Amino acid sequence: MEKMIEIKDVSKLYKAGKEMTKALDHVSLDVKKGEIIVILGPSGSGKTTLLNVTSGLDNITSGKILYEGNNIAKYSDHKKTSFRKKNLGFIFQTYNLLEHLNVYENVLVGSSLGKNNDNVTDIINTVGLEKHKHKYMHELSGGEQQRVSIARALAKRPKVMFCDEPTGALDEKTGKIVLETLIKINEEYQTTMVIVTHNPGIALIGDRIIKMNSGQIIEEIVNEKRTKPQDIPWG
Amino acid sequence: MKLLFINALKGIRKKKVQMIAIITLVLLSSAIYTSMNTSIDRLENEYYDYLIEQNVEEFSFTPVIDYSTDITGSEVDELLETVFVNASESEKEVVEMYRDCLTGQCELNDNVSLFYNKIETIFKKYQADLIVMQDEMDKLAEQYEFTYEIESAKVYKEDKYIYKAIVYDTSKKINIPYLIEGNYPTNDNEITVLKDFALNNDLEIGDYLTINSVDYKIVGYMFASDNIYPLISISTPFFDNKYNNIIFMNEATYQEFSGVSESVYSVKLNETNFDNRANFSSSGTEESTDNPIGTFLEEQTGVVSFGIDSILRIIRTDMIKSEFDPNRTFTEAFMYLLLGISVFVIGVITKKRIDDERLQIGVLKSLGYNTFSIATSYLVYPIIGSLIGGIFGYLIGILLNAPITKLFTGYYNLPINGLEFDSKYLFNSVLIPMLLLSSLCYIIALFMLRKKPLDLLKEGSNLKVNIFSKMVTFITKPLSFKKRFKYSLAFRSLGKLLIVSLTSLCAGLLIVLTLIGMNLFSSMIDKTFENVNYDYVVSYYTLQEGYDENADLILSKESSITSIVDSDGNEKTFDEESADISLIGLDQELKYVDLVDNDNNTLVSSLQNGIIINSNVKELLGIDIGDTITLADNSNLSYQVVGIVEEYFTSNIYIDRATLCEDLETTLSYNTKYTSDTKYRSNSELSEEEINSISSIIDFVDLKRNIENRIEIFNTVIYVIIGFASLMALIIIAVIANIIVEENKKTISLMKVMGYKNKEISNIVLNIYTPFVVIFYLLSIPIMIEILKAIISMITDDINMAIPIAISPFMAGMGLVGIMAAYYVAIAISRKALNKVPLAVALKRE
Repeated sequence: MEKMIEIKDVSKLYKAGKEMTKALDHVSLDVKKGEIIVILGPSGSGKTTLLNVTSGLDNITSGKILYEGNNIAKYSDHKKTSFRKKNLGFIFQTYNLLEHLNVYENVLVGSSLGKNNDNVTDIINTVGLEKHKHKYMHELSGGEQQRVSIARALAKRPKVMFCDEPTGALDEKTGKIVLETLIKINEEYQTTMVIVTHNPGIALIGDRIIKMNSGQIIEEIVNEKRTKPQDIPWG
Repeated sequence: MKLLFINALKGIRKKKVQMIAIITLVLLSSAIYTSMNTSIDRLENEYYDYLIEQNVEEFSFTPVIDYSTDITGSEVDELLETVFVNASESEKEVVEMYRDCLTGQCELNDNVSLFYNKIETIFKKYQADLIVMQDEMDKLAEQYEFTYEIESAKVYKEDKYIYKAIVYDTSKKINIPYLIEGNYPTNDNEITVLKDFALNNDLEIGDYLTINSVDYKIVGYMFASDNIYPLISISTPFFDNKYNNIIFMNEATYQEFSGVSESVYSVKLNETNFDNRANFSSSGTEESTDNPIGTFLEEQTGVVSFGIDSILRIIRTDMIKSEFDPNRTFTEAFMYLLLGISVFVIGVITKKRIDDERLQIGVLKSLGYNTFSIATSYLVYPIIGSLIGGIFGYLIGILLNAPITKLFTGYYNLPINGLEFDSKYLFNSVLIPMLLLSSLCYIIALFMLRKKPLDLLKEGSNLKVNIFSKMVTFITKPLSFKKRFKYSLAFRSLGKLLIVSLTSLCAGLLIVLTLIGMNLFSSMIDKTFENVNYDYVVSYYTLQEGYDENADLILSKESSITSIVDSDGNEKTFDEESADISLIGLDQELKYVDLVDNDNNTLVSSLQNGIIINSNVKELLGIDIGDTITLADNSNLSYQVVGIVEEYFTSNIYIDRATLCEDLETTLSYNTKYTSDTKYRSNSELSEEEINSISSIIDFVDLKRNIENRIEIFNTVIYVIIGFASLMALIIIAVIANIIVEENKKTISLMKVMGYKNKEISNIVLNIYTPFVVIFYLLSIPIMIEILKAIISMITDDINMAIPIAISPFMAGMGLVGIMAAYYVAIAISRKALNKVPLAVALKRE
């Protein structure tokens, strides 16, 4: 498979109080197109930092982050914004939807960034919210809201979706529905997925598991076969 | 971007208090702006049309006659056959003696100047001075290209009423009267009156008005077009539409009418140039040779006299212009003040909104929305506020325009016709606030959204501790936990603290404006009249000699200051337009006049050492004790200032009378008398000789009443403005209190979870900004005083009047009580919102 992302010897240092902390320590990783990568680690392992620098949301101290040969680490903030607009989607633990817009309008917020011709209704149907199209956020459950945020991210047809603890605020049943949605998107649209989690069960849904600790990749495991979300152990 | 706008628009529902504040502030500023400007426009347009249609005079003057050389015996003979036919026997004898002297048949030995004074008085009484000058006037009219007419009137005073009688003459070409209603007074004992006078005295057309025991039938209402501001008597400088009246009558009725006569030549240039009219000040000559009026007066000095009568006439026709620019300036300044306050409130709303949606904005930026498009969506607040507030403010302004115009026309005799809408005020009412508020909102939004997406997505800023917070923690160590917690909450965000402080400053500015404005003019009048112990000021046409044991004898002379030198010998610069003064010569021993300074010290005895100026002169020209001033005169008189008397009307300089007479090279004489002799109450109690020599009598009882009535109107306007200002202060304080709860929702919720009761929480959280409200209120006092001084100096520049701006400690204390009362009321209301904060807020991740 073709490489989508190449992370080459990336380090990230930041100042916390008077001390310098190494959030990432010479990390190298390749992500293939259409792959589902799960980055697993405990709190403070550097997994979210790796997601942030890879997606251009944060800067690196050294190294390279290449997308189809282009090093985005050297991009200006303006260029990074433009890059994210065209290529990347984001899903966070807290859904951060616009509370005064309904489901359709929130997805349209994402769709209006892209140049694709996908019908917003089709995207809403993809995430299984066709009956809730005109509802407002306070009328939806947590899982439903998370699916709206997925639809919003998907609406501009990104090449890569970054998901930071997408099920962190959800119960098992709802969380598994969300994971099924992510897999469905990956299979239908060939969207590369980078999922960050502390839940080892979730790691089984991906093609590869990247284990991290203290800012380093300590293990890389290839899943021979993806496990269906309904079969994964939770917690 | 459209969706972001929709999101922001729907979010307005949650910011009701703040949006209402914005709309109210914009509405108030638009209403005031529209109503005042529309009224002034109506007045101004009508005024210039009226000047043309009624052919109102450019200016007036009286001739300067040297009675020893300018008139021949044969001319006097002719006058004895014509105008002096109705003179008394004693007057005829004096005139015949004058003729004989002119023809060499007799010689004058003693009291020559007094004799000529008598002649001048008699000639003026019968307008013989104007008739004698007719040939000369015809030549001047041809040379300077003007037409002229003799304007005569008689002024009669009866108790509080002052009547000015004018002949209704159909052949009049200058100052054509304007009939409002009814008929012209063509028959004997028929008169027209001013409509407001009739209304205020329950009179109608067809009723009778009795003046000096003569009944006159009212046949119509008419304006004298040269009395746009009907300054009938110097005794009533503010037109009193209940007691002052202008009556027109036919020639025969006029001849029988008793009253003090006044006559001038009224002049109309053949080609009216209103720019010249605007340049022509009441001070007299203009140096510019482009100004034909100024040129005429300058070249004909010595032939024409531009005296008090002429100045009064200029005031009557031109004073209304003093309403236009100052009122426009005041309105615009006030509008921008209100908008300035709105700017703060919009800043608060924008910042709060962005803070609340920080996480959502972080995601949007992550997805690829740029700062500019996100910032633009927040313009919905200023746009909505400006649209609603601006349009409604404009409409209210249009409605208010009628009563405001009526307020003006209560004082100006100007026919006001229908309203003309000017759409420019609608555009300005909406566009100016929109531009101002949108600009600030956009700048704040851009500033706050400059952060990277990750920074916006991070856990709440509660974790950050700035250096001031650390300092406060250190300083407040000895205090109780609650007090330390309070101050740490206040200082944790300097931005919020700054906003609360600045909005408290604005509220303070408005409250101080209220306190100063409430008593502004009344205290001015009280201070000015405090030491007036006399009831009448009697002015004479000519210099008088002699002594009156019941009066203070004054020699007054108009002059102007040409230079001011300080005690170190340095020349001071000063506003030359304010340099005209009245020089008042007083005796050392006085019965009525008392010159008192700010500290209540009597200054009269200082007159032997120098001159005393009044506080109006001091403020307008920057003169201090010790300065030497030089006056424009033949001998360039210079005097040192030894005292300042507290007086806020007119520009007076007091000097020893004997010194002044000596400097002017005349015998010890006077032309003004200050007295309480009741014979000056009414014309009927004076002898004919005295009536003929008196040019005016100012009744101070009437004057004070007249000024107080006028000031009452000023005060009403100020109270309206104060009402607006107080309302705005309340809005601002409510916004501050509202913000405190919203800003600290998480803390409030957490404290509830921990077990604190609502009362305890409100004591800690709601009062965190109390010290800052107090501090910034106190700061607002000197700031508002300086702002008002600047505004007042802009307005009073045209009317040469200094208005004292000050606030007493008691009033300042009252203001503090007021602002704290409003603050605690707002906090009490906010307690409701605090009590409603749910515990679940504490459990949410930020």
